[in-house]
Amino acid sequence: MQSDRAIGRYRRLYGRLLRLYPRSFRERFGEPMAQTFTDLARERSDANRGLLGFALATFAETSAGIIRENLAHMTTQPMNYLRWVLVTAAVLALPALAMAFNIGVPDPGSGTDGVNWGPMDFATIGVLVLGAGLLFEYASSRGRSVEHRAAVGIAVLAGLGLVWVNLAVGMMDVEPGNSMYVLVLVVALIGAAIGRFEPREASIAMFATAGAHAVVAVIALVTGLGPTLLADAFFVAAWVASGLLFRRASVASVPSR
Amino acid sequence: MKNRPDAPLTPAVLHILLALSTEERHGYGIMKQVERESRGKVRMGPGTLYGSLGRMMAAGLIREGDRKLDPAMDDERRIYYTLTGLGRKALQAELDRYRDVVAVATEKRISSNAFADAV
Repeated sequence: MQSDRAIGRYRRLYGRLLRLYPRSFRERFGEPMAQTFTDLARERSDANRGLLGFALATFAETSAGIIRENLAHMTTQPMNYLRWVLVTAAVLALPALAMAFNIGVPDPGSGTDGVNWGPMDFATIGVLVLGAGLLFEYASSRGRSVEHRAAVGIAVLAGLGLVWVNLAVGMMDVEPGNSMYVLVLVVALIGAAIGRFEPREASIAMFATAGAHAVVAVIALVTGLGPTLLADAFFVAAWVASGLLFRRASVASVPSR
Repeated sequence: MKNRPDAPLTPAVLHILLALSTEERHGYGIMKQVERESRGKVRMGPGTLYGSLGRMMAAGLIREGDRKLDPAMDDERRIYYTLTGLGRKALQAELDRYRDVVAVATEKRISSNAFADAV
């Protein structure tokens, strides 16, 4: 009886691990894999052998399978990922062309004449845009509805926008204040990752992110760091909108097995 | 994995095809059969087994059968997997390749422990 409880506990954990497989694979094999895991655990238990070592070994073996299947999934849909490489190249081409042809608004204050990006600027923006695009592809593949894609799109754009604004001009007048927005992004990313970007969990993560952003704005206001309340309100609204869309997607989606 | 019956197979796919050659089986049944037939030398975890089953289904070597109870386990309904015509041809072609290799080794009088002393 005690072993049944332990097997049930390990099966639940294993079920969570299986959620990291690509959706199509999970929908087809998730239930049979959980069943097979239970069969193997019962076999161990009936032979009076410990379950912990078995569970760890099977989790490790399955994790290798998860990496393999996700890589295979990415290579079977290369256009989805390739298009973000092209988008990134297009975004980076704009300042490159502006510099090559000396196009842009002269900025006597900074002593530059038009656009003047260094290698670090190109690298930073390239990583940001490509990272945001790949994150969008991965996260939106976790659901199948239009609401889910829209929710992911809004969240990724809000995150990208927040980083971009802070890198460019800063949301606050005083530098230490801007660092607080890192916490907002951490809440969004870790919250959504813990929930494996599934609609219901991502909805909670986005509402938590909206709360964290509001708290940062209030702290900045109280301590006189000079928050840009209009911009903060815009971002909070974006996080809330994303959360609401994720919630709609979770209600509409068929429960995953 | 190409849809050609004469394409070489990976060891995991070969063992799964062999396990399914006599009767349809569910995932755990395939694992146990592979273990028996390899005398315990080949043990697959769920990640390897179901990854292989997915690729084999995509290649048309096996297909999902009915979801039914296993009389020996009588708990949950299980999905059974069965060989397709292409799967039988692929298994036959792979076994023919192995037979050819063994024939060459026999011709050269290479016994199973011929290289036991080799470093």
